[in-house]
Amino acid sequence: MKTTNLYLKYLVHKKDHLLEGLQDTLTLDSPFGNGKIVIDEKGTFKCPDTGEFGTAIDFLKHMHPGITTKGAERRLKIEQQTTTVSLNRASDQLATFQANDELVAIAAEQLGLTKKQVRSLPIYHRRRGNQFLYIDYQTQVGEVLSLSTFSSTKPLRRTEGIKTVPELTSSRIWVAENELMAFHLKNAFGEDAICWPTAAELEYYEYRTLLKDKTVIVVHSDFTYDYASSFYPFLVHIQGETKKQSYVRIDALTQGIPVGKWLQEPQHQNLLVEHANKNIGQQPISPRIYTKFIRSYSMETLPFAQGMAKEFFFYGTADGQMVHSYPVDVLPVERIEQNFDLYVVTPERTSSTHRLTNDRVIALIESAHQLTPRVMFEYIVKLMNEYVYFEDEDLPILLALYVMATYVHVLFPAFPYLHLHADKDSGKTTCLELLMGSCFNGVAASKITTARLAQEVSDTQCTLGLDEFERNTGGQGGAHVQLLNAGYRRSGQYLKQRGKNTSPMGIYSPKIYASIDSINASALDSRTLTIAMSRKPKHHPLKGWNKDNPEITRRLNEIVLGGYAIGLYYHDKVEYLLQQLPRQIQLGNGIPVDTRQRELIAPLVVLAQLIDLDSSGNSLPVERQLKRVLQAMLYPDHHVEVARIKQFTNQLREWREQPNLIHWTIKDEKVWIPTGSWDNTSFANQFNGGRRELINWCRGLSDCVERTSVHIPSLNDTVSCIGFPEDLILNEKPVIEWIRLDPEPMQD
Amino acid sequence: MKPLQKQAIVLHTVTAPLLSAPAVSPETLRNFNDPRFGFFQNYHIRSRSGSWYGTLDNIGLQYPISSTLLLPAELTERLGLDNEDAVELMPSPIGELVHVYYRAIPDPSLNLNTLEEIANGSKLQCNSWYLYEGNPVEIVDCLPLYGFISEQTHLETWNTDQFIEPTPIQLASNINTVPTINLNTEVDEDN
Repeated sequence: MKTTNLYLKYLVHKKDHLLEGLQDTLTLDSPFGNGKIVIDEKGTFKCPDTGEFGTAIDFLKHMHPGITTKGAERRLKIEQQTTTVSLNRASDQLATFQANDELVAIAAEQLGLTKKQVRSLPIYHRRRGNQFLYIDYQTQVGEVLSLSTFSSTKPLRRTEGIKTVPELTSSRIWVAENELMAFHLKNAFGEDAICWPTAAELEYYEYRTLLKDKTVIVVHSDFTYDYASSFYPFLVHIQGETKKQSYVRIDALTQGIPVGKWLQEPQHQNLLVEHANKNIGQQPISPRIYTKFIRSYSMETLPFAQGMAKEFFFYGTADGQMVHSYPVDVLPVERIEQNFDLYVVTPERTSSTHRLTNDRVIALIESAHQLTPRVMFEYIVKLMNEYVYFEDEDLPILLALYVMATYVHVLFPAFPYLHLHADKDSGKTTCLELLMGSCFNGVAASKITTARLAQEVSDTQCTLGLDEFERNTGGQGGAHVQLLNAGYRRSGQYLKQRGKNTSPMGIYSPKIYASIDSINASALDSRTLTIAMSRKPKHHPLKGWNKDNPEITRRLNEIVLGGYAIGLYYHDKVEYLLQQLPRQIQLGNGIPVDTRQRELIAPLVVLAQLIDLDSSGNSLPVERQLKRVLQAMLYPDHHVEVARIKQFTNQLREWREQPNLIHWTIKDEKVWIPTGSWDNTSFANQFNGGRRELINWCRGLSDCVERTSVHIPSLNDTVSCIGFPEDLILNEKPVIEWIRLDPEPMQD
Repeated sequence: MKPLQKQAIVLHTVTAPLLSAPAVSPETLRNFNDPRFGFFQNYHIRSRSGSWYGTLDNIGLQYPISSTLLLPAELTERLGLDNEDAVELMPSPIGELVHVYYRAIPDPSLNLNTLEEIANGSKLQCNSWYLYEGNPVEIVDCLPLYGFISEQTHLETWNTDQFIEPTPIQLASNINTVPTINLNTEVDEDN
């Protein structure tokens, strides 16, 4: 690789220079003064005006004060190469992210920052792995030379390229695990903050010189990394050179409040400094102790049947091997563990429930472009309509989305249950068999013990179909219901007795039950979407269902194949859409849905959005059709609620038109309205003048609606207020647009 | 969507002595941004002075830097590479050879250094001369008519009594049947 490539990454040049740079000398504007810099074909530079000259290593030492010769050599080796794809795309991805208000809002929520702060940082969110990427170093020509990655579960930065250390001028230096934490600390204290170098990075900068006679405070969270990546080697390295050094585990102080928000309070800043001072002189833990007590720092567990780890999606096959997502490969379990540094939780018992076979994997790869989510969706809806009668003709849409979502159910924190509820002879069993034939590892069981049920779910993460789930036949018995209640969440576990020990079994999986009776247990009912079925009218044509019919088997197989294609080729899009899903989902007529009900419908909405991404011009958006079905299902009396939301927004509009009637303010991207403002309004009459009921109704609009005391500048007083997120959509418009007369730039 | 054979990515190479075949992480193949690119696909690795064809091993996330191709030492040498040199990775325009029939060339005046050694991953053409186990040979016939050598390729000496079943593969271009020892001949990838 030509050394001149390196200079072109740092210095302003014309495109022609790229060609020129490969074979000739270059003359460009010098970074060391107003004159020119001449680079010869050997890669040495000379600035005639300043007299500076030297090799590429010397150039890098000029550009990065504090870098060692080894660090410069390493930089040279990396930076003279062709830029990697991730570095190359970073600035474009940052721009795309910052232009997307929804993505910025989600990132702001996750990072504990305002949207404005997120936009002020070179940080963006990546759909795969729910990771944040931070542009660590970008040259004046826009070339990204180092990029750090971290996430909420793995906060330690991982940097591609050489991590850059900025100039350190303050007497106290804060040291953090990633650039975002460093930003928070710098912001709070107005002092320099850097990321700690790993053991391997210590030789790249003159840390002992850079930190000489300074006070160094390391702020860290949990140890989710090995010793060499921890801050201890760094502290050992600089010991004796610094004035004082100390380290504090910040999670012990913040009580769960996001660090950025927590550090905004002066008393919290003082508390952190106080604890740092207390820890001065505390010796770093030795590598021996660290490795003895902090083990499996990077070892993630992966369930065999369906799982997500290290940004890849995995399925277990009936042949005992595992398939990973695009670029698809089939590997034995041991190689998955070795290659991806994972621990695979293999099934205790072999089961015929695993539908994926090696030959199906080949079929899947060969038809990857044909098995799109939209094709699969239409396939399922067609099959449903041919064999099952639904009074609401859009119900097959919901069921098709449910089937598809089962193939990626591990991506969701919770997964709804389905209840096929109908009188005799209404097609419940046909519908259940069709669903079992299409869903991920579908297993039908009408009479099963609780222990066997837990074992099957734990081994295969199957979609469990329980027929005749009646009150009096044991189906809705206490133990069953308890297990079902727990298995709704990803964290759901069942403790199994083995001799004198107990061991946990994962029981999270989709479950569908069919019964004539309604669901008695309210906790289970709240985890369930009820599909009301009815006997088909005589004139309605339906094909006769026989699950052993080869034609039906062939069609079900195709659906299963399409289901696996979702996990193997689209899991990152599903993950991305899930992250993008607002905390409050608006149903058809603007009814907001959040908390438990949002959790219940999120997998279906996300899958609908996935299909709509692949929309062909003529088709109705699936998301809109789904929301209409959900609204009818969840809010049979939704007209009352819709009318109330309209009256609420009318009140806001009235205040907008007569601003003298209202005092309000914006703080932390929320609109704050004094609770007393509603008294004697026509809207309050909805609640018979009861302020408490009105406030409760407002808080029910979204879990982001808050009630607290806020200073209202126009009142010059601090009063009890209700805060509505500016962007909370009510009656098709954000709250801010209902109340503010003239759009103004966003305030903080 | 681009035709398969028009796509290529540039990778840096690292020699890994314990490998038996070229290997990449799945992350690296994601740079193709096309679901057709996986570990079941035959690839073509092209350096300035050589080529290799075959499937890639999956090293998972064991090597942390994506956009890197790990090569066994003998292949690094065969491709004339220094560590961290760049190569192009693209889908192979040719498939595996099933059968290769050869006959020895009894010409003592032949300069053996000009002949390419038949090895796994090398491209072969009919009526061309190669070195096989140190001896000069002429490739008399192949099934299919051109492709690359893999571990599954069956090499057999030519016996004039043999009759070769025509291959059912549809060939898209004319094959140069002129005997040649030009080692740099490439199959036209546009075909």
